[in-house]
Amino acid sequence: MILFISDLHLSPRSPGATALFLRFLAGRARQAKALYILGDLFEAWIGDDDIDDPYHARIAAALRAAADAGVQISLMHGNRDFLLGQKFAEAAGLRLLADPYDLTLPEWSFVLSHGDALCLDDTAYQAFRTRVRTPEWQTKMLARPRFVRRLVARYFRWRSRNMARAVYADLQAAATDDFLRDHGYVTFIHGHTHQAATHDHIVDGIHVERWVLADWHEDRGECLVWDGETLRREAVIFENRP
Amino acid sequence: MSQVKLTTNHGAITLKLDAEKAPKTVANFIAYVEAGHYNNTIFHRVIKNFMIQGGGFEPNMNQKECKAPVENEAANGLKNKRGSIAMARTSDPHSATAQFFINTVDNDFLDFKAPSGQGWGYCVFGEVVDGLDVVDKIRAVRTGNKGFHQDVPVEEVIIEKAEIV
Repeated sequence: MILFISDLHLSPRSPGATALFLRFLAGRARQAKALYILGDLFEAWIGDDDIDDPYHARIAAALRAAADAGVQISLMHGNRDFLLGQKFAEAAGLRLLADPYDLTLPEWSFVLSHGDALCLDDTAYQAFRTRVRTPEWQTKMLARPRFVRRLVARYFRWRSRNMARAVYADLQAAATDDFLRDHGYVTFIHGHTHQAATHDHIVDGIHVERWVLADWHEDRGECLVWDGETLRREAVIFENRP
Repeated sequence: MSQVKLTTNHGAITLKLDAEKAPKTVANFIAYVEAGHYNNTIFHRVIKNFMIQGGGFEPNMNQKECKAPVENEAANGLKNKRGSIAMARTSDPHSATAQFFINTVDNDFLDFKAPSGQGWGYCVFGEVVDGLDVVDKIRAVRTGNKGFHQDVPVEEVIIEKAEIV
């Protein structure tokens, strides 16, 4: 069994989602052979030196504990945590994935992505993305003191909240078709848009499924489960009841 | 025996805790009281002829972080009768953390039956000794849906303060 999640946007300001994720790692996730985190695990990441922050250390330790228990964990960058690096990966016992990533299983093939690279209608965001994904920008940024990087991250978040939402809405259709063609018409799984849905595409006469992962909330998360035959959505919820 | 007073916006509820029958559960509850965890939390699930549940959410349904779960001591012979307080939990029998509920009617189906699966029941660890009228006021409030939650009071029922008395 393989699990896919994305867009948890974890931060100390989301104790509910954090608690859900920690319990998910200690429980449900351990029934799986592999866990794929397709971007935006964290609300922000200013560099791997921030791993000494107790909150980050706790998340890394919980990931590491699940990895030690036999779950192979893979992590892709999102638009919020693209500075996650090798040092974090080692601490958390996971491997970093390139975006996109072709996941070929004996029984089925998938292509995995965060999804932001295909939101081409948001030209301002794409310009920003191109700039911050260069090694030059990242080297320059990571050389700055932490408090400066924190301010920059806050500014980026503020700016992204204030940008027009309408154009941000979804993946560009033509670019998505090209993407599916390039990846051999396999099932596409991504996050980023926070609009959990399953879409049917017909590309060159071939039916291709696109599964959009749900984002996590304070009282509810969701994972996509591959059981070797089908994909299904499963709620991550720990309601206390009598 | 320890007593804990919950001061709510509907009045005060005084609970007598049974540390002899439920030592771990009472210690767990008192630790949360002493840490101030319950101050400014809400009764977020209210079902008139069943129970009122709280201790896990701040106003606006913000879920609070909890400590490690406590062992289920439901086999202690205490019953989920009207006015008793018991621990809420997930489907895992030993998963109670901070959330508790006060039974508003006799709920024998919540009592311990067997140490497996559904049979575990819900651990009673005390009872209301003063303010059952306040519990009755709370059970009667109007409820609705909020987000993924059902039976949430429309006007928040707030535990302003929880203290050992």
